[in-house]
Amino acid sequence: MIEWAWWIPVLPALSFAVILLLTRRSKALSAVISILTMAVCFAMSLGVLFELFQMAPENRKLVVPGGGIPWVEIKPFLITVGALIDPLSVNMLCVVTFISLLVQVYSLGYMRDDERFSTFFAYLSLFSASMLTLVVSPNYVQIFMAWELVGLSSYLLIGFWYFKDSAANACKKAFIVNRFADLLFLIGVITIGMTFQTFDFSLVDGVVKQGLANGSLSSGFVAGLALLLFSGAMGKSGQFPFHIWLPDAMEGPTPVSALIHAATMVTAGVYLIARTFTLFTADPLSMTVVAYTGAFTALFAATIALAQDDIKRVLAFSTLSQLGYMVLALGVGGYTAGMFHLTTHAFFKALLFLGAGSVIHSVHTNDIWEMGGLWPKMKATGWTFLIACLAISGIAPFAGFWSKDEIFVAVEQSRIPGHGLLLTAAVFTAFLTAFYMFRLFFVVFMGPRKKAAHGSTGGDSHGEPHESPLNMVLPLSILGFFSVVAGLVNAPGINAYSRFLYFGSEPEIGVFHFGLAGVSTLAAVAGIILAGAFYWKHLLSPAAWAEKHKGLYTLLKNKYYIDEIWAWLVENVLFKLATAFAWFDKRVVDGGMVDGAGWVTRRVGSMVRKTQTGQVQQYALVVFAMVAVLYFVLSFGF
Amino acid sequence: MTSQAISLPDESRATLLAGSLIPGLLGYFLLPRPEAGQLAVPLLSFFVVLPMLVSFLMIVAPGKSYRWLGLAVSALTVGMSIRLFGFYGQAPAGFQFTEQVPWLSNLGINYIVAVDGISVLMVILTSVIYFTGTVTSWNMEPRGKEFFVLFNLLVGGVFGVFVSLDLFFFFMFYELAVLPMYLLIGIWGSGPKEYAAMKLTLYLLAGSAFMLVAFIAMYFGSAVHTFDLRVLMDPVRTAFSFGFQKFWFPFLFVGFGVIGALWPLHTWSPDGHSSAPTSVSMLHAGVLMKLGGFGIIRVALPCMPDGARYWLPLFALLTIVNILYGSIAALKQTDLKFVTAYSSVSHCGYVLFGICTMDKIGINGAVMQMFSHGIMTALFFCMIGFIYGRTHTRDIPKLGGLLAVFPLVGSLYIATGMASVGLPGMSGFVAEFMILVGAYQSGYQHNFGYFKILFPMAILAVGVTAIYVLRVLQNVFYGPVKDPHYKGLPQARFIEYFPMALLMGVILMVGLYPKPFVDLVNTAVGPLIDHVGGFK
Repeated sequence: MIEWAWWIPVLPALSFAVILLLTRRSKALSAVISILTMAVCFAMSLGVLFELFQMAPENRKLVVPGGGIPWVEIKPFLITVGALIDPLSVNMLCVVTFISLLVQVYSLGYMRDDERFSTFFAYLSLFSASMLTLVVSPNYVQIFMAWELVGLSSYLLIGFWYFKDSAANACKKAFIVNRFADLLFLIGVITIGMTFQTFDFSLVDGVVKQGLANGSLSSGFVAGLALLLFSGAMGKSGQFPFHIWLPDAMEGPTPVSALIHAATMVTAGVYLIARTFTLFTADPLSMTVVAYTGAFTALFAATIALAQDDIKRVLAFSTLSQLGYMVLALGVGGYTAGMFHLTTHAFFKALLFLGAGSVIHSVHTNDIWEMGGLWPKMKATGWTFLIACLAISGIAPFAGFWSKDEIFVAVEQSRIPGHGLLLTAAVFTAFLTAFYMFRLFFVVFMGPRKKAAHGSTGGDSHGEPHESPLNMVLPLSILGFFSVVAGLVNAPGINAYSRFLYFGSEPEIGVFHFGLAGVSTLAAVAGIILAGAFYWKHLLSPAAWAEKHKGLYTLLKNKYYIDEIWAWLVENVLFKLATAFAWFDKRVVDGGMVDGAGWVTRRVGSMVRKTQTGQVQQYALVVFAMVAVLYFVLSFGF
Repeated sequence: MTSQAISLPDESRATLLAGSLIPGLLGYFLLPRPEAGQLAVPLLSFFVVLPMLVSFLMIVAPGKSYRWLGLAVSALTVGMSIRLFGFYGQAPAGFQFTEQVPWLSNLGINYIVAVDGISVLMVILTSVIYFTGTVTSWNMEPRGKEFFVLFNLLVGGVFGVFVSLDLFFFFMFYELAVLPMYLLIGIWGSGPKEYAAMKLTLYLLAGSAFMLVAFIAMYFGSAVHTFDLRVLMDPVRTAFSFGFQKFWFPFLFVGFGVIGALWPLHTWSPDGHSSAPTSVSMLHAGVLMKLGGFGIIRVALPCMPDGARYWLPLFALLTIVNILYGSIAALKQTDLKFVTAYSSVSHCGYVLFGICTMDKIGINGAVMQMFSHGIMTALFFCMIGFIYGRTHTRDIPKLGGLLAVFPLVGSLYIATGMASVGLPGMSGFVAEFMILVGAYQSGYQHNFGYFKILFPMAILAVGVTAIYVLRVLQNVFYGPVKDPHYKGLPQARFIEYFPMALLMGVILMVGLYPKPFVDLVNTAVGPLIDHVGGFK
């Protein structure tokens, strides 16, 4: 199976082309092609996983087909494309194909009435193809190319409802923010490739290790390279201050949000750090920057999530916060912990988004204050949503508990300066997470049904809220199952995940830290109880609290005004500059120099006409003088 | 004029396809394989002579049949150029298929044509644009016949420049490619067309005057008095002194730079492009602007390597201004054609910048960028022509929501926009990536510290490009349909989207698997760099 693994990214790309070029007119056929392709890819990924399991751990790394295909070659400069199969990439392959498959099945119901149903499936296939290409990249150039293609796919899908101005703005914003983060990444890629004379991940790792060992390479330089890569990762994984595109990306259809947040886009940054971990670990500087960025983003995004009213926006900020955890984990050296959290997070975050989609599908609004009382009407959605909330809050034995706990252990054991501070931030974020997730849960599902919802949306043909159709509930149930059990694969005593995916030559089997687990569970439970007091039992009044801390509340509600700062920069710096340039080109270069030259020519012409003598010697003299002037200017003036 | 074009009966799909496929296949299969070193037929002269010959035939062609002549010959050149790619042996690099006819031999002027990897790629580019341009101007009115005659004459000149190895003919073909432009824009253009045509022609002629002076200087400066480029490239036989090169290199660079839109000599380009009719814009931005970069690589670098080493750092700065200035100025344009024109200034800046790196990878990238930008910009102008034909405006604020109106053309425009941003999978990425690598090489590997500053500046423009492209996409294609009467506009017909689809196919082909193309170019660039040397 492994030698066929390169088909995994190729197949969805083909299905994209086939749907767009051939089967676009038939909705059913397009959906069948797309879903079948993804099912085959998922099956192949599992096959590769099992085959990899049977191999000796030291052999679990190969590039197919045949070590890679030359893509551009100007000796000795060589760019290849291929599929790198190792535990890290196979882990991602399974996650991406699994989530993509479920999201596509879900979309059958969710997008049923959309006119561009087939196009939607084509774009979903393209998205999966780009992300799969990314995770199997054997070198820096391919990962950069796939990276950009992921950006394109997200642009197409976020702007899928292109006729809405908000969607048009959001997709543009997502692309441009990512693009600017990628500029530094591109500098990093070229610098790495040219310095080490190869773009290949394993070869670069080898050269770096050797160079650091024999002192021919300064660790500061490697840290610089790592930070260039990290800036790309910050863009895709929405780390502060490049996070601004992610909440706006909600403008896409909800299945797209699930795909972006769980599997196909935001995890790319975390994956990139893991893939190039050798460079990051070379110097404490890069690790410290990564850890602090992650911790800050985790806390920062969690606080914003407290004050959002749009169900998808709350989830978006929770994604940012959880990505912060993963980045933090990698920053403190918890390679396995970070990737494990990525994996479990994929399940419960996809579940949350698909659950939110199910709710939106039913009540036709995104505003949580127009929902409420949905529990009796939507049992399946409610139960699975509850599971996901428990999982993300880190309550044992749900998936999030195990992975989050490993992160806390990793932070606690790290030697990063100020790791106590990081741990405090992480635990406090866990408290906030539980609070805002259960705020969401109580407001949406508990309490009385709010009738306002229907009046505000108008022509709703569905009437009362209702459970979603089977093809939407089925993915929810499957994800619900995995959100419960996925964490167990790495529970103490089992540790199957740690033995499979690790950095370095020996697996690091984490110890189970009862103290930490207790503290984090306590924090989560406290968050849930507080949320219940505020939003379920109404023992405390959120309105009164918001009134009392009006300044803070406004700040959170407006997301610390980061968007406004960016907008100001673009409007007042870049566009002012562009106006100046356009003016300069029109008036100075063109108006002054060119038309001026024309004017001078005409004037000179009329003057010269009067002095026309007809004497060749005089002409020759003038020509000679001109040439002489030119000669002096050009040869000695420089 | 345009509404007439819409009401004209569409040529049927089958006739059009047959009219292009049959000559195309003929061109491909009937071209005899040249035996080793021997030429059974004047392979390259076909490319030069056929368009010119057909332009004379068109004068006497009855009725509308001139269009079919144009279609057939342009399709024939496409077939021939693909075959030429196949024939071009990659192992013995250098000039191949040489034809030499004595002309004024005692003056050192001979008709010499030959191709290397760069010329082969440029010949392919020209024939593709020639063909798609012919289809695009199918319903050109009024004076369609005269338009076709001039158009074909111009193409013959362009082919001539790309294959000539004699500076006299090189120059003659160059003028032949430039002069019909004056009439094509002045008669069939729109807006301030006389102004634009005059400005463009004067500019390009001024550029060619610089070239001519330098050519003559080279003729007399060399010990052998010849226009034969193969001789002029040989430092042993020419023995151009450093002082000579230092003095004359800027003449060549600036002369070619004018047509390559070198800042600040680029202002003919926005005016010219916006006034020119669609197919002329395609040909002009697609092929003619490439003569600049091509000339520098073909003449300036190999003949005056020391001059290049002396001057290119300065010119590199100008080209960086090109790249950044073009992209930033494009941000604020409100006319679709102006956006594309400024974007061309920026992209052509990459071509010139790639050349200025004097690095093997960088120059390979520059040639790839010439090809990529040619196809891409032709596609842009083709689509802008379509949009203008339907909506009668190119003013971005007046457009909006067009993706709902023209799903096919809108999607193609978005895809082309992504190519312009330099998205992987499209031809622009590999070209720009190689140029940036070249800049890095010059800065770090060859230890030319100055390029360490230029390298990130060139990368910055990659980001700005995304802003202006996406801004156009959003304002023109996204959002609600701005003008209600856009809604009933007719969709693109086969004859309109056929060239667009073809050009997009080329962009994807090069973008997805660039290796054959890069290999082709490298057969020429490799020896060139061995001959010229870098900044070391």
